[in-house]
Amino acid sequence: MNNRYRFHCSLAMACVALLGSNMAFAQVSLAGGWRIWNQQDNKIRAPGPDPDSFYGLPINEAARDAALAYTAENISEIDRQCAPWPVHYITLMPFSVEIWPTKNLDGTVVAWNIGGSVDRAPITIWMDGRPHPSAQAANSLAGFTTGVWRGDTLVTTTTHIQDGYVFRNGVPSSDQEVFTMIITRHENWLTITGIVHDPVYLTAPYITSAVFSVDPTIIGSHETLGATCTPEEEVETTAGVGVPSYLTPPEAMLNFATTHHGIPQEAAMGGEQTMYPEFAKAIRGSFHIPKGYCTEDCCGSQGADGRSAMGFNIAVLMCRESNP
Amino acid sequence: MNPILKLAVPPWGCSALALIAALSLSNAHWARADEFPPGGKEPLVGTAVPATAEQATWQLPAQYSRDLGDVSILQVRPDIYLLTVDNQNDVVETGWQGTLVVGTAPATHCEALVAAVRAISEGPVRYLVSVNGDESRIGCNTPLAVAGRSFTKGTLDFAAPVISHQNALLQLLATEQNRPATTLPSEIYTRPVRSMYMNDQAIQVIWAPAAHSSGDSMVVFRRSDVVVTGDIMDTTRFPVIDVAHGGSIQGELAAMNRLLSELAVAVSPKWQRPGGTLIVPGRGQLCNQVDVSNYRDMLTIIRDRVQDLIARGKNLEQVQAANPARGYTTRYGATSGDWTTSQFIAAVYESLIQERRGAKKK
Repeated sequence: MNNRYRFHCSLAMACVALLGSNMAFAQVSLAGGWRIWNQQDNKIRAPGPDPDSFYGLPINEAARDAALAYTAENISEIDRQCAPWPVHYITLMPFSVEIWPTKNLDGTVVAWNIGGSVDRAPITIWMDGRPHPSAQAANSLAGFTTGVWRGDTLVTTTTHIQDGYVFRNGVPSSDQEVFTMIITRHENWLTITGIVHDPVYLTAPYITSAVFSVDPTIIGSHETLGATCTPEEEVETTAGVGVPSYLTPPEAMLNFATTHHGIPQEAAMGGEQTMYPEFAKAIRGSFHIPKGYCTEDCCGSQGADGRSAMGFNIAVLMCRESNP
Repeated sequence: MNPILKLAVPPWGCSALALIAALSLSNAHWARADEFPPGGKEPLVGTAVPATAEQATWQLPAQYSRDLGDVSILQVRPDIYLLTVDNQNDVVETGWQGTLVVGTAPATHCEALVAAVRAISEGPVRYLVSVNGDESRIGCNTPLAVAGRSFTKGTLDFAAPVISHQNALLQLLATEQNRPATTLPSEIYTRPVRSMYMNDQAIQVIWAPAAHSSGDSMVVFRRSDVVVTGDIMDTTRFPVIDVAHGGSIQGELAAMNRLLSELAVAVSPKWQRPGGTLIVPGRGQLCNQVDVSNYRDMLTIIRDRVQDLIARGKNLEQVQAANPARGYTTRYGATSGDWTTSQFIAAVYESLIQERRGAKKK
């Protein structure tokens, strides 16, 4: 290697190091109350997905089989009633969040905390460079999360997540999942993009996002405080009596998306191909809007003030019942 | 200020008392940390940040293991260590009276295992517990027993006794009669529970009939709130059901339901927090009640499907073709190796057929 080349290499490395250094230390305050805007994937995050609606999800056959055997009674098991949804629910839930830092005495941020919601465990994002726990360490539904700043964007990695569900209709997630969050603040707006990598149940990463706006009144509200939970007998499952599941999925469940929304079965059953626009073009001919189907402002959308998330959910449920 | 305190403490004394209390607490913390492992060695595992930061979050301290030769050591409680050898989990409990080892490694890893137990504690090994009669669970019984020291002199001099259920001993004797006496269980039990009190805690060895085999034991450390399941639970795959040695799907489920209903307690009523009873499965990561619930549900659903197919007159080939493990094959299944999905389904089918035959005879 000649000296000139060596000089340029050193200079380039120094520039990269300096740039990396700046990037690593750039920080934006995320602290405060953040009101969710339930306008994306509203049906999934608010009332919840239909029992056979897996479109847009890159699931494999095992995930589809597990979801079709799932009944919502499963989470009524006494052992499960107080278990929150896994960490990736942060971008699929209808709830607002509160974020605050944990600081050392010298003021450096050791961790960012995203408080829990009604049915999601709090997330701690460690910023001090600590390693993820060992493979044998216990998992939790919140997982173990570390973060680094990439410019003004916080990028996090979560591992050690317990088996759970991606969707509330029983699409499973495994303990091999790695969840990435990309947290970006634009003045009074916050976007959390979530990427689920799960080699056990997904054939491609599943990407979703949630948008929030600053709202100090959310701090300490019913949405962000979480709740206490005392399990009670709801279904007969103890002492080996049984675990709620479908031996064979009921016909009505298998055809729900087709019957109610005219969505072709091949789309409803999901899979990686259903994520892409090419698939929508390919099945356009087989998509038929059911007779009398409401296509515009059917069940309302986000409340006019953007605030009535919970009330809106109930309104949608009632609307769905009256307009099946 | 409390009027009694006001009498005893001068106005400037509160700050001083607070300082003394803080220093005492600080000392107490480090004293506890130094206790384990006994013998003045460095703790095997430490946390990377000040305890104050941990306390400010909802997370449990991160757990980091240390590798010692072939053995990975993870401290799961102040007095309990998880040792992973050849993907198989063993547990060491240690305290002022000595050490108790649950399960031992295959014979090829004895040197590393003994070194790891010594690294945790220089105290004498007082007991070994064999969780079943599998070769892989007794391979290092002799070197550990000989290196140990029993509380009382027995037929094996002061070698540490091996506790197991009688059926585990019978299984070992049936497969090989010329084993060293120190390898075989020397303190067998036949009752549902064998209890002892050591290192200031109640330790219960609980028989789980006809689960992985006929001689399975779960070990409960009551003060530490840790349960060792042996091969009844294996989060890396479907459980190995050794039908030839008395294992059955119904016994597996009975053991899992007992774990859930009596032994594994979640943090409640406050939800969302991790914690509660820790469960050490035969293989795989440390678990809590949620993991046990997941595993129990998976087993129950597959049992229900196979039972339904049998009730409809299907033979094993037809049951296999119906894929009753659907939904779980990528999570727990394997198409090659020493325990495949087909073998698991065959074991479930066989044990359910045996049960039906037994019920008809009655």
